[in-house]
Amino acid sequence: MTDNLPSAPPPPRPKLLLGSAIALVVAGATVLLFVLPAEFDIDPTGFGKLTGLTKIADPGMSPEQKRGALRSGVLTPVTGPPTPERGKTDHWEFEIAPYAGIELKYDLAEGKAMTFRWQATGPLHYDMHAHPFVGGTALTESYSVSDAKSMQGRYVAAFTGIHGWYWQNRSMEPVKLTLDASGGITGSRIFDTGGEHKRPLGE
Amino acid sequence: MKRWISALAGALLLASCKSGSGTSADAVEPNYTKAHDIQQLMAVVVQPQADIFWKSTGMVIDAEGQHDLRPTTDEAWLRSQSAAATVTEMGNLLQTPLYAAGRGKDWMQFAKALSEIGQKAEQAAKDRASEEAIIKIGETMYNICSACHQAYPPAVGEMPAGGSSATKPLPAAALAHDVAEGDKAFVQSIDGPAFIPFLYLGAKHMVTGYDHILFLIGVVFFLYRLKDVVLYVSMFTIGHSITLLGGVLLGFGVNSYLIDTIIALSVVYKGFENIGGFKRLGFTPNTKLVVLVFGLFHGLGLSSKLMSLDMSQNGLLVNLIGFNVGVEVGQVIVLACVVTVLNLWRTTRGFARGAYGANVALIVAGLLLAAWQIKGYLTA
Repeated sequence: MTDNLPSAPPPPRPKLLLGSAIALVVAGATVLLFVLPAEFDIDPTGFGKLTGLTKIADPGMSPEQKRGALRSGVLTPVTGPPTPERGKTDHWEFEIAPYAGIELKYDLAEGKAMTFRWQATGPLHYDMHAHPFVGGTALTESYSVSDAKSMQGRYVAAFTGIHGWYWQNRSMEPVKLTLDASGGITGSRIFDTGGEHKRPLGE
Repeated sequence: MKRWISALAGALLLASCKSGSGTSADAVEPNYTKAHDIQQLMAVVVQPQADIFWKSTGMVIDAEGQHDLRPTTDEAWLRSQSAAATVTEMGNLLQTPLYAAGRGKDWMQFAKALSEIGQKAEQAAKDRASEEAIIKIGETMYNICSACHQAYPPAVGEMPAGGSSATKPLPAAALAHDVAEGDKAFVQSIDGPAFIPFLYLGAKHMVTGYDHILFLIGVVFFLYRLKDVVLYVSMFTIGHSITLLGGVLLGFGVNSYLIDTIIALSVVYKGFENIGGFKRLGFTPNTKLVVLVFGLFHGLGLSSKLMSLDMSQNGLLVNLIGFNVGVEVGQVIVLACVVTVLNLWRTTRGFARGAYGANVALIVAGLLLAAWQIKGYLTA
């Protein structure tokens, strides 16, 4: 099986040197153009930024977003109005002044689901996030941070705690926000400049 | 040499024309003096000027009684107006590289908003606008300041507010040839085509994925002709490309512990075949077909892993093809090293005995990986 294999003579010196030089250059270029930008965000040539490789090293995420990104199946966006989830329903309206922010959270137990839809009269900067009752804000996880006029989806709580949104109006005009939610929610609270306020669920 | 000099001169001429067009002929680079860091600028200029404007409304009560703060003289109105104008210009200054460098697009947005509200405030002071209108502008100015301080907390530095990075320890099995956790965050942050990054991830996944590497070592162990290497590796590539692309696009996922167990067993199979085990048992399937079939399983493993990352639908096909091409690139890199080392080894005397030992080692490694994956499946 392994008999009569061809045995190559050692290569001549120039060939050996050339081969080694090529290997060195290729490896060096790969490290410089790909590995350093993608793994360490070191980008001396600008190639990493151009191609988006540096985003692998630094996806531009906060620790909260990184924690959220490690979950799967928590937030499922849907197109069009979501089908109501069995349980309680809630409706809430609020006008956000220019550059002001507001936060609304629902109490949800681990594994409980809700469907939601919020719509605004202008684009809002939002952060959909949650933190558990045990461990508090140090364990906050963000599931979606973006700018949008509306958002709808199904949400399954990864832990028992409060789950909801922070919205910020980054425009010079007031924006009216309307939120509808249904599912295994057991309570709701608002966080504004005055602090935390419990609010009743319902219309 | 002469031609080289004239070419350089031409290039210089071209460059100078380019920089001259659109601006005045002798454009001068700005030469700023950075006299304040951002905290000082806020404390010494922005905050006091905004305060002057805010104090154009409301009232105070002191020992002498109640005073309306609304300006009553032209001089006082001018003070409000120039404070507002300063706020506008501070917004502009904050957008220059002096203060904006490294702070991102949100910074620009807030600084721009500060300039906008400063302009409105200046106009309101000039027009002697109503108390109500000035209060409203003052509120918005305050909100802009707060929103920016929230995104760029003054005391802590530039990191967005956040708690400790307490993450759950990962189960040991997740370390087994998974996409690295850092890369997972990247994959989920992508919404749109990103060919090169996914190409890199595919190549990295192959180069750092020991189960695929062990299988490839087994496949090329006794192949010394380039033609055969290419032929067998193509069978493997066809196999895993079909299931990688098809699996993700059709949403066909398999439990990744089970599929990794099969991949580990493919290493065992190849090792056993290489020591002549199947020949001895009189079981001689078409070796190319076997490589193709195992290729299908390896691809299924890749697709299951990619699907668990919730890749965005936006740009999915481009990213998937990028990942698949990357897998091939990684495979070529791995094979180049493996085939070179094997060919060097093949020329030595002890190869026959060493080959037997190496393939037994492959079987052991494959069995260990399989056991690890089965344990992971049972605990998950």
